[in-house]
This record gives sequence, C-alpha cells and structure tokens, in this order.
Amino acid sequence: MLRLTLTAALLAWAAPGLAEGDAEAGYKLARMCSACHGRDGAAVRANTPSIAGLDAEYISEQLMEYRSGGRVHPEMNIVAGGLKDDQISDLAAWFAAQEIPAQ
Amino acid sequence: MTALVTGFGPFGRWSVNSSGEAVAALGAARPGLAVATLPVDHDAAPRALFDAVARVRPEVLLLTGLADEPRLRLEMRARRPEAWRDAPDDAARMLHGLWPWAAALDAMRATGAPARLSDDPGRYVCETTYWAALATGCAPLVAFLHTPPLGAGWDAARVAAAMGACLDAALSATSRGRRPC
Repeated sequence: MLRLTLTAALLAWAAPGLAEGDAEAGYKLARMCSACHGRDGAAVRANTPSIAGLDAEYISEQLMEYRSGGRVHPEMNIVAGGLKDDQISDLAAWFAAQEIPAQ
Repeated sequence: MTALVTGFGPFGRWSVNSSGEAVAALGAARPGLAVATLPVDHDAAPRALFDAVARVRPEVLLLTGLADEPRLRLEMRARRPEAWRDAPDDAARMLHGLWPWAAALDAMRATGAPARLSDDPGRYVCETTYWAALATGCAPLVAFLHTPPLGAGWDAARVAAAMGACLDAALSATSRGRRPC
C-alpha cells in the first residue's frame, strides 16, 4: 500500500498538470508547426527534430518550457509563447499519436 | 518595441484597399505606431518597404494586403516571386514568417473577426512583398495578414481592430523577452 501511495505521489508530481489533449484539435493547430516539423511530426527541415510518436507529456513539458522561456530557441519561443494550456495539450496529443517516421 | 505595419493602395477594380484603409485607421488610433502604404507593383512595393524599414528599423513587421475573401488570413510563408526583378539570387524558394500564430489567430477572433491561417499568399504583389521582407531580413518578426474587402459587414475600423490584435500578439511575445535573434 505504501509503495502504491508513493508511486501515485510521484506520478502526480511528475505530471505537467495539463488535461489530456484532443488530437483532432491538435491536427488543426499543427499547421503552424508544419513548416519545420511537418504536419505529422516528421521533420521537413534540416536540423529540426521529428516529434512524431514522442510521449505526449514530454511534448507538453517542452512546449511549456519554450513558452516560459526556460528552454531557449529563437523560433519556438515565439511560436509556443502564445499557446494556451489546452492548445499545448492538443498539439501534444496529435504528435504523440503519429507514427515514428523511419530514420 | 518598434513596430511597422504596412498596407497597400488601390489597384485594379479595388478603388479602396481595405489593408491601406485599416492601416491608416490603426496608425491614427496609435500615434506611436509606424505605418506605411505601399504601391501595388512587384518592383516598387519592395523598394517602398525597404525605405520604410530603413527609416523605422522595426523589430516587428506586419505586412497587410487585400484578398477577396470575407475573413482575415494570416499567411505563414511566401514563395519566391518570379515578377520581382531585384530578387536576390541566393535566397530560398520558400521562406517562412515568424509570429505567434495561434495567439494572433485567437486575438483576432476575440475581436469578433473570422480569421484563419494560410500558406498561400496568392502569388501577386502581396507574396512578392512578403518574400522580399523575409529574404532581406527586414525584421526579426515578420508576418503577412490578408484583409477582406470593405463592405458586407467590414469597415476599416473593424479590420483595424483585428489587425491591431494580430500585431499585439507579436508585441506581447517579444516583450516577454523571447527574441528570435
């Protein structure tokens, strides 16, 4: 019981606090990501990571970091800077649901 | 934070250009904002833009132009124009604007104006000017906003309100210390 409680507590601590996103809404928003990451998360530009299939929580965390300026990237700070929490969740849900592109 | 907003003058059947009218209205409402009206010509428009940029040195540049569609269209990219004779040879065929796209879209819609993102600026002087601004690095933040024709529910004040909201989204992003370069 103690182990379960600790696990639950750790999961709660690790969660970014965002609600689960709507992948369909994320698809619509992903248009603004398509110039670099592709609409489906497969990068279309050199030196840009493919983000398809990444963990939704990880994507959300990174977008929040870009939004706050905690993680610095000239373009991502601007693009993510205006995202609301639900938009971040939606984008994360969409990209997480995509198949990881062949390397 | 220095911003420049440009619109176009009349052309063809459009004796009134909603972009130029709204930019004038926005400039009148915000005395500190730099605005310019560009001629509708593939060579003259970039030249007039560069003159304005040299004068203002903007950190945020919002280009606007008329499109025959009953909503605002925020353009995310521009293709290399064939018609601009002074186009630099070594610039990319496709260039992307940089703007807080989602925030700008939300802000425009919050004024009650329908708006959407677009990746097709139309291959006319609007796209030439957009590409010219991106190819020559006119400002760290650059975007192009297509405005609907006046009439049918649109007047210059309504377009200007949405245009101002679009601009404010970029100014807000940069004022929080996130700068593209």
